[in-house]
Amino acid sequence: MSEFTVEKFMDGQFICKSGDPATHLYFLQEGEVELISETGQFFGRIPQGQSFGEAAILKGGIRGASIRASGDVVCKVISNDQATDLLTSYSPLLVVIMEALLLQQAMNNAVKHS
Amino acid sequence: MNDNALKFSVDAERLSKLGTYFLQSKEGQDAISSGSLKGPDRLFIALASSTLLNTTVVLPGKKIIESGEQFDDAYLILSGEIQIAQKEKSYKLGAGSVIGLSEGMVGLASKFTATALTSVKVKIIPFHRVDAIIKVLPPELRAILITIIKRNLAP
Repeated sequence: MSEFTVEKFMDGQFICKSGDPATHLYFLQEGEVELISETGQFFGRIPQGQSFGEAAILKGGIRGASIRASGDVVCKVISNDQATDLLTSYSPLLVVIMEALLLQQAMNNAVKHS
Repeated sequence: MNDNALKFSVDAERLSKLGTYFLQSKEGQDAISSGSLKGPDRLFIALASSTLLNTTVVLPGKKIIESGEQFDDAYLILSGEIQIAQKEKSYKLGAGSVIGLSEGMVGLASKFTATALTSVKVKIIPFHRVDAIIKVLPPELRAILITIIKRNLAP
């Protein structure tokens, strides 16, 4: 994954906003980010070493939440085409696994919020 | 939450009629852009049409997994309904539900018993195939998978 773009974001800067097209996923190399709801409420934090924006795997998806840098942040940025190509290069089954994990996430969210 | 309500289901009948190549079609792209086709619907169409997974039918009353058992396979429900029983909780899941994937990928035993309420058609995701792929992934890609798994396993 060394060939992917590295982007830096300053404290308080929005990396993506709710309602934006989900064109990229992010791997958080340094720092942490905050999850902000459509109504502007803080509802979670993602630490260094984790990813966010996996909905980009679904081409044409829409962001469900905004992401804001909490302190200075460095991310590896992967476009949805690059992500699909990367997953397929290891195994077409890896795309299936990723899709099934995202579907399990949608199911769990529905169960939790029902 | 002992209400036996159906907590999650996609409209499998409608989505199956759209066909295997719907997501690649102009009509499909328009449906995605307009938001009329939601994320779970798109994932279901893609997974249900995958030729990489075998399909089987679980008969009514048969247990898919019992609480405390390790998962050998994960399951995507294509049609039918299952009952989930977990301590004091009991609810139903329908088409589009994914059972045991995150748990099995990190070697956790099931915390629930899943029983077929109807004839249930499922796609099987075997962990011996999943494990073989995960072993060769670079750390960043594995971290992305682990991020989603952690979210799925969060209480």
